[in-house]
Amino acid sequence: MSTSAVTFDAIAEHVARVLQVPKEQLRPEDLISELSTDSLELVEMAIDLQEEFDVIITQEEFAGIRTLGELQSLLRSRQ
Amino acid sequence: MTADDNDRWLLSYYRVSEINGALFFGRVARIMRPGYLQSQVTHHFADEAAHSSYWTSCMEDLGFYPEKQRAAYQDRYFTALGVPANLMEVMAITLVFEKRVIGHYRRHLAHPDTHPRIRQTIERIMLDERRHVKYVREALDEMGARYGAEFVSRTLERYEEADENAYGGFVSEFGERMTFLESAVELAARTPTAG
Repeated sequence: MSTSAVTFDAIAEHVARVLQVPKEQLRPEDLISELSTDSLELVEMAIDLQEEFDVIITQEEFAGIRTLGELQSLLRSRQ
Repeated sequence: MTADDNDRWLLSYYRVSEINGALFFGRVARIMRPGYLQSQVTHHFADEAAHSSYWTSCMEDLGFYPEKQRAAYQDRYFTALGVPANLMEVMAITLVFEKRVIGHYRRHLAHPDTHPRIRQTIERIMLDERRHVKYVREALDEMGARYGAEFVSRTLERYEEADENAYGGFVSEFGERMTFLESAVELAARTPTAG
């Protein structure tokens, strides 16, 4: 399986689909905790991104990420 | 033999735990890559939904309806450890949970006063639970190559420890509703260890 490049646009596309928010409204500075109050929805988002970009994020690392921009940096560093 | 308020509460708790399990696996199933594990997780999602239906039918046959409940056993893990963030952690928490469910159901079955209709439902569900343990164990073995065997092992240890605390809390909070737990403990104390 080929992996996609970790661009913000690619991340936003997945996040928008899982959390059902408009993609064009997503910004790197957006706080992940404010995108959804449902923790299981955030799990779904995290796993979806790992599956797409073929990387691994641990529970501890995910808990330490605040914004979508930080999430992008972590995913990039793992690819 | 008649069912009482404690039966109603407990079977409703079993039912909502199965519903929450189905909702959780449904989320995981829809974002997984195609393949064997996706197929197993999707089957697991369907099993959990079916189990909640078995409990609903069981309660109806016993002459009552499920209580409205929201909190499920799995919530205790998430409260203690946070939610899992990758597929390996999902499989690890699932293995620990499935083993706990089997152990708990065995204790329920071991009680001589367990209603035959409840016994029938547990036995039916146990067939699926054993299959779940098998595929999850195999998945974790395979994931050792990608996540690192030591990381998988440490994650399992962490969840097992959390499960001990979660189950202790569950028994401490609701033990009086489950007389079969008390008799199982007494029985174990009287029975010499067979190895």
